[in-house]
Amino acid sequence: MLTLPELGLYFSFLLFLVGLAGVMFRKNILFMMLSVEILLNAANLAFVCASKLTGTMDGQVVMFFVMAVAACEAAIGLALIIALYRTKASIEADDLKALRG
Amino acid sequence: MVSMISQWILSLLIFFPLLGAVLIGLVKDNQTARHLAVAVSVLELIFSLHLVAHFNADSAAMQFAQDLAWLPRGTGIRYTVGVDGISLLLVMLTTVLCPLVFVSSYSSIESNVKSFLALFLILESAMIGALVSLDLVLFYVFWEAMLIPMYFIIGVWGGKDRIYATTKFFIYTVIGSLLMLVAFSYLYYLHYQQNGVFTTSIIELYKTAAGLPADTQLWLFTATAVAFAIKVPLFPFHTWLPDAHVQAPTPGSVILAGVLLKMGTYGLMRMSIPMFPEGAHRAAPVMLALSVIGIVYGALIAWRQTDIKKLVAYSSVSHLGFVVAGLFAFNELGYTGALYQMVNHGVSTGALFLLIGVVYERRHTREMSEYGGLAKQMPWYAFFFLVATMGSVALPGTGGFIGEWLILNGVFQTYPAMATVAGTGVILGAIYMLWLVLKVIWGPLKNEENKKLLDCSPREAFVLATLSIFVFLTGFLSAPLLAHTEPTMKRLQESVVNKAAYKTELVIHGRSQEPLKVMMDH
Amino acid sequence: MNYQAMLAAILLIPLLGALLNGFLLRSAPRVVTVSVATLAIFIPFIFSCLLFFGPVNAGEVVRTDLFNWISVPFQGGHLDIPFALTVDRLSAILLLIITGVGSLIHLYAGEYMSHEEGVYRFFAYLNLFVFSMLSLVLGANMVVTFLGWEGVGVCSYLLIGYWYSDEANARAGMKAFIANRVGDLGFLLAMFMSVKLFGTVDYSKIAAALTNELAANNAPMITAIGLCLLLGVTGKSAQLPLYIWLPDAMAGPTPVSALIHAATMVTSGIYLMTRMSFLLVHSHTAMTTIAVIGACTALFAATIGLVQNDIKKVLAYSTVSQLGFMVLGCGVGAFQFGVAHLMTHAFFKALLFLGAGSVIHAMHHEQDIRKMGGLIKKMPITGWTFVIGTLAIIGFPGLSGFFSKDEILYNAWTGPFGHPLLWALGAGAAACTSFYMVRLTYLVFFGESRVEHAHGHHGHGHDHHHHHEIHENPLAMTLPLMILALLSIVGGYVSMPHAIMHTLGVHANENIITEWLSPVLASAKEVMSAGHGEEGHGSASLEWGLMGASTLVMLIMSGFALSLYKVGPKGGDSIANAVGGLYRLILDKWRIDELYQGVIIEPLKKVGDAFFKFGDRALIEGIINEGPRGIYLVTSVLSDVQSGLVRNYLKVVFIAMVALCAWILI
Repeated sequence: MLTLPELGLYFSFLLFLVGLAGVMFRKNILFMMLSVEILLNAANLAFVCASKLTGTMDGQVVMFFVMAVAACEAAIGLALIIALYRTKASIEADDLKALRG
Repeated sequence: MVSMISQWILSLLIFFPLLGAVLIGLVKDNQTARHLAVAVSVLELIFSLHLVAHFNADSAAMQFAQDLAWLPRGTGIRYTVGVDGISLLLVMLTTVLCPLVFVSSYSSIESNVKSFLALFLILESAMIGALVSLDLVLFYVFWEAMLIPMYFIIGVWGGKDRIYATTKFFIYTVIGSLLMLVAFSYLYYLHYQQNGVFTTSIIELYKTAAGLPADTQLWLFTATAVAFAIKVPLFPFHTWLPDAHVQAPTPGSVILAGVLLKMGTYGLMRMSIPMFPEGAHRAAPVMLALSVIGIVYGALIAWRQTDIKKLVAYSSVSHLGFVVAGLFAFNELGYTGALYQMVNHGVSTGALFLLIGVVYERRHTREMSEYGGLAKQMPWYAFFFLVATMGSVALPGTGGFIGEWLILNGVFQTYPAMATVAGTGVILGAIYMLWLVLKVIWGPLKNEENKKLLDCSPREAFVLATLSIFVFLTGFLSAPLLAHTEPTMKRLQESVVNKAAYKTELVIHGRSQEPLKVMMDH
Repeated sequence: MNYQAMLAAILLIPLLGALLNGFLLRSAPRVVTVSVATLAIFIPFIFSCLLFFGPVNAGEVVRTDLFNWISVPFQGGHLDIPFALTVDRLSAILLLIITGVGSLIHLYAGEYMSHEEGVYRFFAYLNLFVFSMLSLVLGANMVVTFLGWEGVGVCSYLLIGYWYSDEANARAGMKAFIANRVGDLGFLLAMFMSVKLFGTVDYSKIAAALTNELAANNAPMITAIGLCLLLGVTGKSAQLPLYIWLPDAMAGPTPVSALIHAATMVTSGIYLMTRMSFLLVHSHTAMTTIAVIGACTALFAATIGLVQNDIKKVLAYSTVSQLGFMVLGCGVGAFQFGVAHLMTHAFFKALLFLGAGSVIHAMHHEQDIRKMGGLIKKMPITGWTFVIGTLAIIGFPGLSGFFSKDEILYNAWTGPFGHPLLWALGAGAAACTSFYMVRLTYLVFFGESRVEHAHGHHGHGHDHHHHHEIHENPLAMTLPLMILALLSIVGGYVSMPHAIMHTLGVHANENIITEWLSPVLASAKEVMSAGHGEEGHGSASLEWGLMGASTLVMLIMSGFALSLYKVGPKGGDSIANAVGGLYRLILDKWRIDELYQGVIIEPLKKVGDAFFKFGDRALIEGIINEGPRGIYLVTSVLSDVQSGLVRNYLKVVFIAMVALCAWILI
């Protein structure tokens, strides 16, 4: 029978796949942002569970850093989306192709 | 005091125009900026007179040298500058032409005046820097730095197809530069392999490079020679030149023909030939053949042009063919002639481009058929035009004659047949230049618009008269001028004939360099 | 004043005159311009006389080095070319001709150009020309000579195109310059070969270095030098195949034709050959080629002269023909008589040109001899001096042309490189000369007047002066004519044939010109006599015979011309109609110009166009532009990967990660 931390690890893998799929297939930048958050939280879950399994605190410490970074990222990301919306009147990712070769 | 100046003079010459460019940025008014640019370039000319006054004509060494730490010690890359017989004349040519160009730009440049002046001063810095650098990296930096202002000068102030022309110019030159960079890097590595230390000192690398196996030398020679041949430009790398010349604004054309093209031949003379004498010997027949083809080819095409500027541009291809031919004759006559011809071509072709600029400003066309009979309306203009033409066709009494005579004589001593074919360039030169004169200066004054043309303004007349005087001065004072180059030419000949390393040394005037190092480090 | 300074002054005063007139005196009154210009030639003339009768007469060679001109290291030593002047007996003769005849022509030109605006330009060019011509003959080495050699070419270019508003004039000047340039290449190559062979271009040093052994060991090179010099000579002295520029050069003002295209510049080829005689005689091939070219030119040009109707064109072809005589003289080894003919020709041809100019001036720029006639009554001085000139050129016994021409013809037969065939060509040319000169003189000055009084004022920027009456020109124009006429009569006595000398009881070994030039030609003589045993194989009886023959031919042809043209210019039509095609061919100057145009100029133009179109634009530009285009095609496919969509990039990252994991795990 799986222990809770192990289950958490499998769940974090599933969560990561969900986030990855969201980033890869959603076209709305807002949803892409949300997917990125899911990715980060999947990573957080993995850190916490791994910490529990190994019996060290490192993972939980890193989780707090990641949450802080995630908060910053969300703030900057939303600000960028708003700025983009103002100039382009769209938050569709496919409309942003300036890097096309 | 004098030795102190001598020690710093080259750095001053390199960085003073740069300072001028900064000052131009601070000035508000266009007219003030123009005056300032002229003042800076005239001061620069005065500074450069110090070189002539204190140059030791009996020595082939690198004089007025300065050797300072630049990049971290392990790389062996230093700030080394110096002047010998080869670069002295070309530095003087640059400092003489630049003020004249600035004076002429009063009327030819109307928009973005300050940027133009600043870029031009940066260009002057880079040109002088490239001419006096004795460190490969330093040379390369200045070499590339010349490209950027010229790119903008053609691209911003040029004619209708300026973007095409300037891009072509840039790409051609950069391709050559990259080849050169590869060759230099390999040489840098080889030197490390042999000696265990890194250096980019040209003087040191002369010794390493001359000892390389013949095949390696040939490869390295080819890579550098192609880079320089593009700049010259040697047939068949010349097609960027007519476009660049036609599109460039008058001051740009003048400095392009007057100095920038000479960088290619200077490079051959400073790097390719003395560094890789064995390779140069192997490649000489090809280089000579290309230059002789270029002479005839350029001349025949020039004859058939209807755009005045294009005609003069192709005449440059022909004339520079003479210079390269002289370099690969491998005797002192050829080298001296080539060096002298670089100067003369700068003066007479510079004058021709200025003359084209004078009528272009008035009529905004460069088609030959639009002109004709200008002698009646513009007698002084006609006079200057004739003088420039005579300089260009190498009439005895002008500097061009001494140059061409020495070159052809030098080539004849080693390759009589080549010299004979090249000699037909003298005839063809007369044909296309006199054709130009016939169509522009002589004949009836038919075009109504030409009947209102004004003769040269005092400012134009001043510039053209100065160049005309130089056309004749170089024609008669060649002995004292060439005396400065003689030891260098002898040294070059020794190295090339014996396929041995080119020997030269730095002569640092005045105090030892230690305190200066401290100053630089702080 | 010492002689060195005098020599420098001779050269520099005309230059000073040119600069004064060209820059400072642009707006000065005409009289100042003319006086400055004339004095700038006349003062050197005085100095030249002092030199001629002083040190040169005493056999000295005066040399002065003005400054070091070119100095380069060469083959371990040094190639030094000073700007050095030297005057010996050869250059002294030319000095006198250039400055003497030059002064007269300047004087004449002052009057001739009196209706022109802005004559400062004309006189500046003219003085500059004299400067160049003087440096040509005074140069102590080939490079200084070359300075003059090309300098006279430029001045000639400027003066032919003096009335540049007519493009044809400017084109004629350009043609002259380019034809000369072709020759100049020959001169250049000759210099390079001298440097290669002797390591110097100084005449005296070459002469010292050229030993018989050296010449024998380098025979091909010596021949090549000779032939290259000949190429230079054919350009400057208007010989076949480069003579085409001289007839067109008549577009210039007539004093220019007299000074440059008759008396001085065109004879510089003869000067050069005489100067280099010591070298030329080493090569039999070169000498023979020179002689053949000279003889052929003499005859060829004379045939064209037979049918021309422009007074100056006739004289132009006559000049080409007479230059052929001089070259022939040099080619057969009789350099001194080439020089003698140069001198007498300078007198009588300058006279004829100035006379023609006088007529043209009086007729307001009419040059067609069919519209003249009977002018001798209105212009007696011009007319009678012209007659003297004609008699001199056709070799009427006792006048200058007789002596100099007969010596050349005699040597063409008997000289070291002579051959009876060369004599025959020369005699034929002399026969033609008699015909066309008598025809010209008769049609212009005698017979009925065919002057159209009502013809309009065309011409070159002339003001509208309304005196239609033709009358003699002022003294400034007739005085030079009279002086030259006198010289044309007596000038030939310097080259009096031996036969006549013996008959007259003159007990000198050689005639004056041979004696005078003997120092210059000594080494050439030595070589020639060594190569041919005894110099010449002539005799007094042969000399008398040839003289008689040519005199007879001259008389017959002159009589023939007189009898044909006494009815006016139509007199020759019967013959012309009889040989219609040939006549038209000769009238069109054998269509040599068209030949050159079609065979050389047009193909070269086509080549230039092809180079531009196919070489530059299609081939090189093609490679330059198409090469990158190929690269572009490849990269544009690849660049689609770079879609600019973040999602796609992520997909790539994902696939890559899966692949990486798979690779690590498996």
